[in-house]
Amino acid sequence: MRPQTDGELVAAARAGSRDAAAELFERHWSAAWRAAYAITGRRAMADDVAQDAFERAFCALSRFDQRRPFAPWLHRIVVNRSLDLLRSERRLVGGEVAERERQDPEWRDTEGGDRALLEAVASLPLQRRVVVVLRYGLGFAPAAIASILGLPEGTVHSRLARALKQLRAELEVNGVERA
Amino acid sequence: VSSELESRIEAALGALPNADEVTRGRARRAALDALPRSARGHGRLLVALAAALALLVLGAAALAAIGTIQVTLTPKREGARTPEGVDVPPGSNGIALVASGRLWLAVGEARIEGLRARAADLSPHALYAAVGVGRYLVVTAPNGRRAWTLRTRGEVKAVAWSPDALKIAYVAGTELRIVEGDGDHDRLVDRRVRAVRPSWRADSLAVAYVGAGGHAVVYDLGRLSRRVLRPTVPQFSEPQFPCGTIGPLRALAFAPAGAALAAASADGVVIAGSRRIFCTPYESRVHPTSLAWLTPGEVAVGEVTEGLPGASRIWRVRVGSGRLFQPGIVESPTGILGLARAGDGLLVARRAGNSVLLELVGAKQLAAADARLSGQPLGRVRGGAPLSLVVR
Repeated sequence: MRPQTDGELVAAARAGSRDAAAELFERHWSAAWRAAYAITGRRAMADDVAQDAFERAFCALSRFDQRRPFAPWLHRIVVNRSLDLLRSERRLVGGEVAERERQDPEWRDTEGGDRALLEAVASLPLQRRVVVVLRYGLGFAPAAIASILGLPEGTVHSRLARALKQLRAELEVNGVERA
Repeated sequence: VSSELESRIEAALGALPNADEVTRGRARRAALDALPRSARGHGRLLVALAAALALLVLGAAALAAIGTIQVTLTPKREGARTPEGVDVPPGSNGIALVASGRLWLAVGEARIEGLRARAADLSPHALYAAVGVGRYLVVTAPNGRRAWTLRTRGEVKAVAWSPDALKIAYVAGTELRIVEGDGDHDRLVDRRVRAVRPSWRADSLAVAYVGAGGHAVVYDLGRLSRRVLRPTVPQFSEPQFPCGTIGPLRALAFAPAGAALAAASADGVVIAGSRRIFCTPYESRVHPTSLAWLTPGEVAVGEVTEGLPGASRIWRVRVGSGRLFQPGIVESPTGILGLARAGDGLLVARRAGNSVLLELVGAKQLAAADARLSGQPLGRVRGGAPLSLVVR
């Protein structure tokens, strides 16, 4: 049997099918959580952001334009919520403290991962980190990222280019330091 | 070089761990609970109702057309929706709520929503907020302008701003400390205390806290002395008075005026006046969560009845009355998590599924003996206990 598309599941969920909503959750939970984790760098914050994003998305399901794809809409909520939380935390506790808290062991705990690269991604400015996560973590094309973030596509390209340049420089410095 | 780097980024981000199963399960339940009511299986019922209504309207219109009756259709009144987040209650300047380790703060138009924090308090008139974020005590204007930050020796678990706005008492790790309102002169008061919110006396010259043994301690800043409060009045040592062994305390609060101190444990409520200590055992086993002064002579205690039959109640205790306990003034089927005086009323935070609902009990309701929580909730936040609620 052909699996239902996201659009069909959204329509069924709007008509009252809890099973359809549960299927939507299962299909997108992992990506939403990992996006939140990659942006915030903190497991606890990712838990909050991902759950919150689903609650908000499901709560607003009746207002969702069914002709549009579900995933970008959900990830737009994830990104906005992550940025809101990080910015309000930074405003409240200050950049230095937020930075120290952000660099708590969680990025370093990733076993077997490319730790140097993950730390470099974590050190990117927020705006660049978001486009990197959406492009390489979730596989969205620049046009889709532009739609998710409400930006011109050219801005997405330039942020990606600057992020890659910064990552390359960072990795080279680390490589030299290690050597 | 870029394409190699891009592949490396994809691999690194692809290797990030997943959320644990407990988190996934909790989020799934919460997300499904957030579905609008119409999407929870009421769709067909709504269609049937709409069809029936259409038939009635058509019939009525037909009768109206032949002059039998007059028909007036008024717009359907929409049920008010509980707003997400918190809002400043009427008659107050600001509110700070910490639920499940997240802060919700509202002062005027300024909002902080869902910031990771363990404790928070507002200065008098809500001009500033003191927030415990990990090992930091952060004082900020609610518009987000940070005044100062203090790195402490342990996680900041409880904060209390003095009524004169000049001092902040806070629990960091197991220590109770006091710092001036400008961040200076941070000093130790007690090395071993419980993570219960301290309370300042109205004159700001004494602070009460729960010591490591679970008893109330009052630290006098003028005399630099400490007084441990134990209900040692002779009758309490008799077996028929269970308050002889009251404790450990879970909440305490000085009266907004004068020097009376109220404290609640699982066994009863202690109210320490200047001369006497009254002890009021509960009629049944309750799980107190919160405590607030209603009037200079009356205290409200909120409870949860987790795993027990019956609704959770807010009890009230009259200081020095012959009848120690009155029945609950408000009932909630889901547990009272927090109480705070707000204007003439009482703001109640109660559990509802995965959320905390904020409801205001007005002055008239407070005066009624058997008032119920029936008003429209002022706000809703996701999370549950432990909870701290402050209204200024």
